Amino acid sequence: MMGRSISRRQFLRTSAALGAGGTTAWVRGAPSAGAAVKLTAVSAMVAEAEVAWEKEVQQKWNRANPDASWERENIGWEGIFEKVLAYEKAGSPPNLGYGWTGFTADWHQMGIIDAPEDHLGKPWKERFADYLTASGGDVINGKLWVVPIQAAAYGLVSRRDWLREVGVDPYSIQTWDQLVEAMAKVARAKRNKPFGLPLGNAWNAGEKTEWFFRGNGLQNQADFDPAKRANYVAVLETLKRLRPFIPDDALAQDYTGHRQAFATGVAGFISIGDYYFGEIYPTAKKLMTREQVVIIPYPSGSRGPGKPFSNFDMNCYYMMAHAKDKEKTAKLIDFLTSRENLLRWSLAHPPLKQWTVDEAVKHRLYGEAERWWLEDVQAIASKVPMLPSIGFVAKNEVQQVYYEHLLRVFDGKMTAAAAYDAMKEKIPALVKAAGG
Amino acid sequence: MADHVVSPSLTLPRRTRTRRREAVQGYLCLVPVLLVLGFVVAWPLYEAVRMSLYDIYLLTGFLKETFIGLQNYVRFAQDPNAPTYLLNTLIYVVGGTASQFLVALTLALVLGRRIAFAAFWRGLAIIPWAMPITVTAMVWKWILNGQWGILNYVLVKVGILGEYVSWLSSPVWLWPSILMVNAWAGFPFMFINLLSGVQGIPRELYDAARIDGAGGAALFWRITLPLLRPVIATLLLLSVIIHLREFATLWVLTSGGPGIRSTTLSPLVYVTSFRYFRLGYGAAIGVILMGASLVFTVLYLRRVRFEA
Repeated sequence: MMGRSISRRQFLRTSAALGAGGTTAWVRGAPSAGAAVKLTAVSAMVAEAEVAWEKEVQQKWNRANPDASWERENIGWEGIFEKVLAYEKAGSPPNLGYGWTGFTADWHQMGIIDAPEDHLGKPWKERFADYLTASGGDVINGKLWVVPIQAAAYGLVSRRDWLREVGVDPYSIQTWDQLVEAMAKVARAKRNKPFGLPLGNAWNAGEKTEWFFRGNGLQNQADFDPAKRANYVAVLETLKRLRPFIPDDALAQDYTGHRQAFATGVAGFISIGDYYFGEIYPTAKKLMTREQVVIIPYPSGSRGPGKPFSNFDMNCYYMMAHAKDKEKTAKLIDFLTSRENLLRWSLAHPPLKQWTVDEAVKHRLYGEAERWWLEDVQAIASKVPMLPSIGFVAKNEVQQVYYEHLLRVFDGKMTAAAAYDAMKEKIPALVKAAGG
Repeated sequence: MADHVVSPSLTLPRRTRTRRREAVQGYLCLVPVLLVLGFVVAWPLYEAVRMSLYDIYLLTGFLKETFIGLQNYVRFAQDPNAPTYLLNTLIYVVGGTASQFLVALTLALVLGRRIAFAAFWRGLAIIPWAMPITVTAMVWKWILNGQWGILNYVLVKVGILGEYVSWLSSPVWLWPSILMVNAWAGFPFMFINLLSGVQGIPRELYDAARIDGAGGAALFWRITLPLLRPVIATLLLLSVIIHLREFATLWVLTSGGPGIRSTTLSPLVYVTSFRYFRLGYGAAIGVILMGASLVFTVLYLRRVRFEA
């Protein structure tokens, strides 16, 4: 059979015709003004419980709202910044972004988020009244800038059985001295380095040592109030005292590795808070029992609250300021934050007023298996002060500076006081330059 | 006089006119490719250079741009961490290229011979290249874990190590570990090319040399290596460029840590732009990276051409 040849001219004509045809079809296929709306969300759901929740509420929403279907894009925590920024730059921001309290100051500073209460009113905001504070990282200028999905109460998730072996009552660890002493006892008995800390990168190291600052009268790592110099230095010195109980491998660990260290039994004490259960239970069910694990409130420093404490933050959606269809986005936010949907969220605890353990286990993914954990969390929350995480701008860059100096203190290349003085030259300037 | 003025095209011979028409058509056919290249190469390149001359800091105004000339470059030059970033980049580029090349060349020489199951072994050697780099790096991160990684387990079990080593945080083992993963993931590309080069060398040359009394080393230095030279030159050039811009392996394994101990320029561009929100400064570091790549390419090509 002979193949039919084609001349260059014929090829060009055919290509042009196909191109023109395709363009026409594409233009005709573009949605018209009156068509159904598509709402979009870029989120960072990672754990089984998060992914399942978002999928479930999406299906519910889309069934009830065919005229405003919701498309979600789940890209994990690593890429969330650049994805949202890329959409923003391209002029097509998603209706909802996703993050946590740590993002709020920066995103607010960039002017890319809206306060949902401006669209949904005070009654909507009142749903979260227990978590609204004047100083918390999600409230800026009196307005709540997030769509709360999860409240997390933080503490040291600890191996109760290890502490029992060395005769330490978990709740007796109330000061940093007692913490160091308990770590020394466990390390001797178990012949390990039991204190887990993800020191592989700046943001994880920064987040997981944040509580030392709250626990010693400071707002955060960017608090360089000259009157509190001794507080800051004491934080660095305490971390240095804990270094012998932190495995060297922590210097290569990110958040996931740090969590795995606990799940595999090589670390026995990690600062992670109550969302630990939902993250670890699916892969380490046998470990998550009251006999083996306990969440203890953070011990405080000598210049801190003077007694154990917990701090809290929120995982949240953000209402993106430059997205279209604000009215329908507000309706979606109202739906996502309904009591029923928030009770279905199965990490940490619902950011609602007056939730009960009975109510939660009825709705949540892991049901009765989580009862003991939620009871413990509620008990802590009712007994110790709950301090809000306080945000600051230029967080990532500040954390990098802090992290590099912390490692120098760990390596013995700098004293805590010298590290403070060096950081004092850099961090306040970074915050100021960012408009903080 | 006007009667004698003739259109130049009519004076051209028919063959020339045909050639010219073909040339025009040829260029027209190139237009789509040029448009695509312009869109995905030239425009981003222009944008990167342009942005590097501006202060674009998202925290002081989303996408607000202020012209600051070369200040971003000066800032990098004055950064006390800059020597570490540059040294890390050098270690990664030189170490990565050298380790991949040595593994690839050794395997190409071995598998280029007539050995049993040659096709099977060659196929096996290509497998690492078929795996997505992020998957490779994640698997190695697990293998190298200092607390529950299988490498420590095996080495302690067989008595090579007395205690577990923290491969990715130890100042001694950090770079060798990274380079080992890099070599594992990247050698197949060099291997394939070197293997085809080795197989392309006429057998008669080796036979003749052997008759003249040449041994194995002489065959390698006098025949194999000189005849592989064009392939090696291209591969080394490509490898340096690939390593200069490589991001995924380093990011997944160490995120540039501990501290900045494994931060090369490529992850630094990412962190500066998308973690610190300093797009202008990030672009400047990107341009420095591109400049380094260009300078190396030009110098290397001139050297290779000179030697040829």
